Amino acid sequence: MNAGFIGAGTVTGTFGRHLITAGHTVVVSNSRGPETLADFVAELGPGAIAGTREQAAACDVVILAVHWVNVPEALKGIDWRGRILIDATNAHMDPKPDISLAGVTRSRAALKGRTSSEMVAEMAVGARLVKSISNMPMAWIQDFSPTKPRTVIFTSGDDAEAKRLVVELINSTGLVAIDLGSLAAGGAMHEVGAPLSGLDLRFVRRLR
Amino acid sequence: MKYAIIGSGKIGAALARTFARKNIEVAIANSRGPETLASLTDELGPLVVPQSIQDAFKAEFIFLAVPFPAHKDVARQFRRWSGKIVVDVTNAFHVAPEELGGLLSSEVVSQAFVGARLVKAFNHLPAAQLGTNPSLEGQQQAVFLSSNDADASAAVAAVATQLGFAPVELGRLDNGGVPLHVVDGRPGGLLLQNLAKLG
Repeated sequence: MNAGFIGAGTVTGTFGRHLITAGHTVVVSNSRGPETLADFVAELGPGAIAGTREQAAACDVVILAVHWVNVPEALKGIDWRGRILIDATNAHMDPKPDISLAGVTRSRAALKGRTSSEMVAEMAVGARLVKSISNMPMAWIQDFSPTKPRTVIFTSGDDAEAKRLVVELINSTGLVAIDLGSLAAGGAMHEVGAPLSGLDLRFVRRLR
Repeated sequence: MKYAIIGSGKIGAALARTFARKNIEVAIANSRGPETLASLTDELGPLVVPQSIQDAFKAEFIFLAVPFPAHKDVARQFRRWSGKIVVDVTNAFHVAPEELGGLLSSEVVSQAFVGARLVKAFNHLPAAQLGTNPSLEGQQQAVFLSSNDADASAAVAAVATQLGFAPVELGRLDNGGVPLHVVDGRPGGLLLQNLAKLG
């Protein structure tokens, strides 16, 4: 599969590498243009190219991997209708995410009872949105070997077919996707500060 | 006795085994009477105590480990379950969705156990998987809990920790608890997933 990243930070560097290791290709974009990403994609290795936001958005799956404060800018000007978009953001309200308990509490309060992915859905009108790759620090999934721990990546979304594809994509890397249901109910469980966020869960066995 | 398990099938026995393993006394009861539990208690040792349902009812924590349709028979034996923490270990597999009347199975159980403080927990794994992961340094089998009573949830989480599990509290039944239920005949996302929690 061809995956496009909007944002070139830790999530892209980490999950991009998991994807490439599994044989996928990635297009990485940022707000400053592809020419600023030469080192970044070289580091990711063959299978990664730098592109514009539009090129990233043209991939089979698009991954929104920017800081929360930059989400509106990152989504702007693209016709999202029909595109599969993974919301990998966490709604930290400050430009520099404050991951302390106090900071997380403040950020959650700022959502005013809504889930952050529902807010992303409103900005990316018509996107087939799936929230995922956001429930833990990327430092926990830095093993890219074939024997990597089968770390659980939670997933939620309202478009069953898009979600199935995202689940397959994640599972293809050796990480294990678990579906928590709709964007509203499921998303509320694995977004910033939620009960299933920040837990290092490893898959042992599935019985269905 | 502080803890009692009602139901002596595979799940009841698996739960009893987790108590025995940690040297915590637990009562076990079924509808056929304590004398039918001899072989189980022979296997699990003196800390697993066969009792009548009447005696098991005196426990503070009651683990409901019967097939889902049998919850009614247990519930109706006592008019009020006030003050009891009932841990709903049942799953509505093979139950027609219309039988639940649009409710989650744990909400149905909660209505039947009048006055009980219900916590949905220990239900996400089949008996053969419950408490049987190889013990690895720094990681424990996750158990998920959901309840409309936050204090009861925390109390059962503490029991789970004592039993060697890593409790993960999900909040209210109709919210965080949904992935722990069979909904419209389909297992929720956390059902039947054997996960280990690190740290």
